[in-house]
Amino acid sequence: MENKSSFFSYLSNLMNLKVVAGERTLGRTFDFAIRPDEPFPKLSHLIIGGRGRKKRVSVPFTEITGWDKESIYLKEDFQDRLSEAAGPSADRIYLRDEVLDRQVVDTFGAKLERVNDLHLLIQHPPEIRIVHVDIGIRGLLRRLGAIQFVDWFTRWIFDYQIPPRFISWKYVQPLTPENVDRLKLTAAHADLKEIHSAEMADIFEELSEHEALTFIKTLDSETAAEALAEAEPKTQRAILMGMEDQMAADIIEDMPPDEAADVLADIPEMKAQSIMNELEREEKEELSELMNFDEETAGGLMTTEFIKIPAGSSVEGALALLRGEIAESEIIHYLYVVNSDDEPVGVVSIKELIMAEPGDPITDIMHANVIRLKTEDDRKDMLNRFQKYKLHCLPVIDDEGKISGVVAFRDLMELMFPKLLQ
Amino acid sequence: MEAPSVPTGTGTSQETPSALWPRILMFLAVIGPGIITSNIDNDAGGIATYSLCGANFGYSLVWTLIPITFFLLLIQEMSVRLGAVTGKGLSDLIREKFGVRITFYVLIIIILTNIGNIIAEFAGIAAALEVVGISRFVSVPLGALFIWVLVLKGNYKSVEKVFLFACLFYFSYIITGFMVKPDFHQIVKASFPPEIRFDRAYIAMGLGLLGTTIAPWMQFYLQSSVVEKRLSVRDLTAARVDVFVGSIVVGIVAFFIVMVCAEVLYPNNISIETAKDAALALKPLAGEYCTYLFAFGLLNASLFAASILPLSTAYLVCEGLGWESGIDNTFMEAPLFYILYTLLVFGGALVILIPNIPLIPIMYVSQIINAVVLPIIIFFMLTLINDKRLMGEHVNRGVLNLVSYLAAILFSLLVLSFAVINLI
Repeated sequence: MENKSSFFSYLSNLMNLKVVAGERTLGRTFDFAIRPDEPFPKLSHLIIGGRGRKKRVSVPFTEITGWDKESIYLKEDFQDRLSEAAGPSADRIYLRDEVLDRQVVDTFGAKLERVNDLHLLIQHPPEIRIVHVDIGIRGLLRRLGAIQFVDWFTRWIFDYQIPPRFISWKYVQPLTPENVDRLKLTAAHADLKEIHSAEMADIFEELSEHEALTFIKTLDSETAAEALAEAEPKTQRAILMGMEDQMAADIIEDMPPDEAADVLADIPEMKAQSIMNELEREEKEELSELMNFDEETAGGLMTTEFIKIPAGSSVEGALALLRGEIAESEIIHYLYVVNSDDEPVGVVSIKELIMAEPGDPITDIMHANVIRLKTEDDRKDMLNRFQKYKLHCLPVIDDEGKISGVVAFRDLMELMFPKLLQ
Repeated sequence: MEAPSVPTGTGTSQETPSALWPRILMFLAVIGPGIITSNIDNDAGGIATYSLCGANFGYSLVWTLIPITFFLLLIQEMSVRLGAVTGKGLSDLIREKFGVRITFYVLIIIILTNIGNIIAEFAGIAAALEVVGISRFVSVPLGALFIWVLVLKGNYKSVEKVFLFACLFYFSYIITGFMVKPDFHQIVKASFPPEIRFDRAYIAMGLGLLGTTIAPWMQFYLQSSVVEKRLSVRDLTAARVDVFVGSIVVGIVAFFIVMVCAEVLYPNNISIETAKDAALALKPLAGEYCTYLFAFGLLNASLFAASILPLSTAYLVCEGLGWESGIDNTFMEAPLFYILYTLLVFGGALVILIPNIPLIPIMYVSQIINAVVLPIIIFFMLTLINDKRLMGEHVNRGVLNLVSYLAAILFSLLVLSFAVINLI
């Protein structure tokens, strides 16, 4: 064994070595296991290959005394009883079986990468930790046994060496479908929330159905809802269809109602019904109503998460209301003043509200002429209104004159020019 | 005395035309996609190989079309099932199950095979336009440029429709087939029992037929288009119908091309040296214009396949090695993909510009290479599709599995015997 205190190596260098205990040869190294719950986990087990999966045997790392270029040495008195069958596990991740050559989520770069090799730190007493995932060409060449030649060649001709491309393991989230719970223990898991939902949606697009489902199961329902809302309809459908109703309902609940209605409208009715049955009655009713509107009309495009201010309020009261409701609102720049019949009587911008005197009645500062849309208005009607009045958003009125939702200009743009925004 | 007529029950003969149309349309909607996929299968190599088969061997190899079509069906169903259940492409699956090293070797083999096919497509372009007097030194570079620009910069989707429409060309063979009034008894007699000759040429043609009908690149392409369309387990039945219809159509078109050449060229001992010779097969239908008709069909098939092949190859290599790919990426985002694609297109075209290189043999030999490589790919697919962890309940089972393995072994033996015969 080399006498350095610690040094770096790669998983590919540890594969297929002879496993020797004293005089006996037990097989060849096939895989290694780690416990997922550290930023830079230690290898916890060595897996010796046998014929076929059933015969693979897992050996605790503590039994290893050392290794060289050809073999790994176990304690001389290693007893077979210490080994166990290496099957799928709830608290381990197998590196070769589940990480090497697979796609993983890079939470730092917010994208998917394929693992070509693993960069390891080797210390005394025999302890190996994963440091990086190697996603670069060097990793590829190393696996093919060509890295020394290529290095020599590029140095000779170009005086150049291909740089390595690593991702620190603490940012890496594996995606293998079995035993989703252990995937929630990784260091990278906490960072998943930080990924922007649009980038998350991109990741979903690249994953296969199984992996996408696994991935979404590791997320909390809020993050999942945001990501799902941004994904393409085909992906949304595939994911929702693959989930149990309860889980799907949790995610739907966390989505803005208009998006949820769009998503539900796109999946087969039976599944949509069974998901909605898991929702609270209010939610279910609201969604059913929204789903009744044609996607292309104001009713189908509007959001129900806006802020209504009773006509009798003061500015102070309105601000308090704003503070209370803003967390749940999509539309915050304009607030709509309504009478007791829920009909819109005025609109005030958030800027005007903040600049006003707290004691004044809201009716003093609001604009009484409320430009509005009707639920049946189609794209052209909506576009005309927005162009004419140059507003950020417009309220939608139902046949009884009540305000039922608000259409944001940005949503209209997304509907009319989806390719522009891609 | 006449027996009283028995009512037939369905009364379809009584249906009004207006009630018939929706049914026809529905039928077409169901089999449509299958027909489209099958048209992608027919390329320059196909037209050349089927024509050569009929012209040089008469009906003696027609019997092979039955097992070949059957296995086409089997294998394409596997591709579709693999793609729909796993949601990943074939090179992806090979990488994840067998590791980078094996993937690398498979990719090398596939690249070489596909280059052979790409060269064949450009040979087709050259041959087709030579018929109308355009030198290959003009047609091939222009063709390569056209394809390169079309796929990378142009609106491929709308042009695809044009290509597909022009595939109606294959109907010419079917129509001619009926026009020449072949003696079906003779065909059947020549086919059953099949007289299997163990000489080099016979086996080579058998392999050519196999390789052009079941091309390795088609399996990769089919699976990745399933993945791209995001078909899932729920869509399997519809996809299977597609595959079934597509395979039957491929078999039918192949049969007609062979048959027409067997009827028109074989008796007159016209062995096909150039495209003009092959065009003569369509003389009963088009008279003096048969050369133009054939040139048109060959050009269309070649351009179509030449647009798909290099792209598909670049995709599957990048997929297998984990490099960025896709036309929606810019060159800087996916450099290796673009470089590979460009090399494949222009490299393939360049080969055809070698002076005096014989076009028809190139189209034919590339298909034999396909057949030689095929068992390797099939064995990979079989291993993957038997992996329960990967396929869940859609894993290969029972009789189907047995038959698939038998087919793979049979074809491997065929390839081996061919190699042996050539080495002796």
